[in-house]
Amino acid sequence: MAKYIVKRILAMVLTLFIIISISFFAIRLIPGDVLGEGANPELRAAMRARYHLDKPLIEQYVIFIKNFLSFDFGESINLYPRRPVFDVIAEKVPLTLVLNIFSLIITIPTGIACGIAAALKKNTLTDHAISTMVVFNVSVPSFVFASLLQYFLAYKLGWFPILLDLKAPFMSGAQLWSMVLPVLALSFGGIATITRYMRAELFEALSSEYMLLARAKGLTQLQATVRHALRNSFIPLCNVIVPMFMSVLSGSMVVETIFNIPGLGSLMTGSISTSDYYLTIAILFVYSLINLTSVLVVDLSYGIVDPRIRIGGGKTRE
Amino acid sequence: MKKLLAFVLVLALALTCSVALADHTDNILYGWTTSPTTLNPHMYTSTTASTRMPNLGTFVRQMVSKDGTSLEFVPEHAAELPTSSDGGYTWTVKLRDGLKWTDGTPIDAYTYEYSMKMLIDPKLVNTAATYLFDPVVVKNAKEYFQGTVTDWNEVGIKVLDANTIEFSLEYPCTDIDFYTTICQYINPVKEDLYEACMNGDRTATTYGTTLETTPSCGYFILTEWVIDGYYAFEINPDDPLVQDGWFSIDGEHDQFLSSNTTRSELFWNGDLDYHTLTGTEYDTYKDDPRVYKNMTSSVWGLFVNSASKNTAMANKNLRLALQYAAPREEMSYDVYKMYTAASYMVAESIFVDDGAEGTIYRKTEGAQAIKEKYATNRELALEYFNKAYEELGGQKITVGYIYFDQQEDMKRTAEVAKEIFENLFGADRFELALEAVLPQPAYDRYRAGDYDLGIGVRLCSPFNPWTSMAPWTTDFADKYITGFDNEEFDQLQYDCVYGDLLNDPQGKIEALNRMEELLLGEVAFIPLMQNDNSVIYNERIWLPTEEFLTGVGYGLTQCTIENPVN
Repeated sequence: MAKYIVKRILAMVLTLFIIISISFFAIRLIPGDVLGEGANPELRAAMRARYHLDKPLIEQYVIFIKNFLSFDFGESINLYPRRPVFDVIAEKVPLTLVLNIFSLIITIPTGIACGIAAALKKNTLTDHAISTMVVFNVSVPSFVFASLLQYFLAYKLGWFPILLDLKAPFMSGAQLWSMVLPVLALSFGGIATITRYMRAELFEALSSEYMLLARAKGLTQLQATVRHALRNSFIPLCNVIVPMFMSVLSGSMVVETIFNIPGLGSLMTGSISTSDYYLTIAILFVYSLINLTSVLVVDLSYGIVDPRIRIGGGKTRE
Repeated sequence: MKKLLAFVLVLALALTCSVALADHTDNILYGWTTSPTTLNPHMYTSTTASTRMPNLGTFVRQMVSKDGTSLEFVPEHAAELPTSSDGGYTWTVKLRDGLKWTDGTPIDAYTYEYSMKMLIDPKLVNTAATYLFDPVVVKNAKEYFQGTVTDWNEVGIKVLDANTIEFSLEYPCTDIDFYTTICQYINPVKEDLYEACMNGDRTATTYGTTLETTPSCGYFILTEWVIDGYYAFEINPDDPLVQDGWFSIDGEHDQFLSSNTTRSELFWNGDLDYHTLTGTEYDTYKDDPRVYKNMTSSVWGLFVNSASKNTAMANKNLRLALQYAAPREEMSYDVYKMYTAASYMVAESIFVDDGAEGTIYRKTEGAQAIKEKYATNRELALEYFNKAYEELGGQKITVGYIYFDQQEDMKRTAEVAKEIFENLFGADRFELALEAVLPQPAYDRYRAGDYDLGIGVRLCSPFNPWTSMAPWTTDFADKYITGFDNEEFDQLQYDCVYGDLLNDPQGKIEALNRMEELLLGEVAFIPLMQNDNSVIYNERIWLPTEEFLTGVGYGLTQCTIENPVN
């Protein structure tokens, strides 16, 4: 197992290196200039020299990789001028993290509960109602939910603040109340995804022979479902839920824009549109790291959820 | 279950009551589309930050006069308006006594000198460094910035005593140029904090990037700041302008709202004091007495490449046909609705007085004549086209037209142009080939000369249109307007900015007239519209003037707030 993890981590490092390298060259293919149109020529020249942009691309790449390997990730050029890029990213994390964790707290139990209800009551009114909700939630993008919630519940009815309350202290009652709408907007899609998976997997488990055996052994339907069917249904759900946990750092650009949340979501587009090369690469690096780690965690979690699954080519019991 | 429900409802009620209600005290509530990510006066990059540093004092401020009739230059940290004794080469700025940061640290000429030294420090490469050498050129400032002059004593900035700074310029400049550049854009920095925020090799400072590293010494004090979220200012009772009674508000709260829908909801909810009207909102409220028109200083239009590889573009009659047929009215009033159709280069808000007398260039006789001469005239356009068609061998003429991609209104303007040009000239004789290109690649194409017609704008200084004519001169370093090289134009531009005409207001107006005539006569640019926005103010806001004043607009910061009586 340990050997497997080490091998996977080494592969991750190699993958990250390739991603960073491709990002470096790809970002420079985007048209634009670090100073935009109409800038003073002397200033433009000085800026290009500061960021080595006056050198050949390969030379720039060598400098960049050298700095990157010594954990010097560079500074933001335009968006947050002169600030180290990871300081900028770190500053955005707390708010995005809080919002997404709250969203998960709603999404996962609700999704699982709806999935179970739909599977247990298959082809009944409950199932149809839940399935309709799923189709609706999957089809409607989160920004539409966000706009509708903001318009009706905040603007028209005045039940919630229109924007996230940044003036209130972090995690205070006022700020938490203002988080309700963005958290809901972020949750609907996830609820639908989990419900869909849960319903399908649980229904399959419920119709399997081991459930029949469990009932024959004298377990009630509830006991058999909780002890056997649910546990087996969670294995494929790992593929969905674990990446959701890992993506709590990634943020949602549109929802953040609508509710005026200064989080990670809008950082990527902002950095690309301002030709902020080093910030863009750093964000890509963070996102890649999150995704690769989530894939690894998913793989490892199989063994935890179902001990019959062995990872890393270990010997199976005779 | 019922108990749980009751608990949730009580909790929700309690939370609702604890939510901070919108501040309806005497604070102006702003909603900006962009957020400043630094309040370091040497470093700001966004429009919001560059136009608004109310927490930092400067030599002279532009204000709406107390009687509300005109723009007035008012000394803030300067004791009086700076003067020049030798025709504009040397300027002396005298500072007031007793200036200080909010923590009591004194501000004097040495504070300003340190700030300017850091501003053009070659290792820091500050983006605001150009204020010391473009357009007003302080002796050796550019060379110091570029590292070719290393001795600070050779730079034309001298502290004569703790209250006096002398600027020596490479070229003379007028009062208004000095007041609207160096006097406006040079701010002090707090030396101890600036140094503390500096990195080890002195190539970067984090000064002005957080509330803690942003000290105040202007008419406002920065009191709260969540980057990309909002910031709050309160009035600084120690500021000279505040003491002289220029402000009646308590402060301002600025939020950064990139979503126009959210801004609209907040405005109609009473949580913002002004809102830019667009689309249906404009149609609904355009006649509302709370609506005011903000005038831009730039004119949008089509760059015309007479040196294009499409040789038809070299035909002046064809270019004139396009100029006279241009659908400026349709684009301004049908597509954008609120813009002003423009048949001229220099916008209606541009100020041409060497003082605050209020002369608007477009109201001068010569400028009016140009506006009329180049106004849309479809009959004349057809005449020119017929001539061009004949001269080009009677073959169908195809002209490329670049518009900005992913902007619906831009697409519509291009389609309007295509329809009007082809209907007028005949689809069998003329084709406008539309091409959607993102803005930055579009400008790259213009720079490379790879276009026939391309939509765009060159920004114009509201007080110095002559410097803004530089991109059209032959040797301009960052030139992307190809096909227009004119010695007379180059000479006039130089004379107005640095030469014989500098201190001749009437001569400069006539020269501007001639430059505009040369550009439009050669059809180097087809002007289309001024993107003047319409803004609606909250009814509690009483503006200091009803007239848009170049430089200060309607003077919102100087407004009076009358909150409704509860």
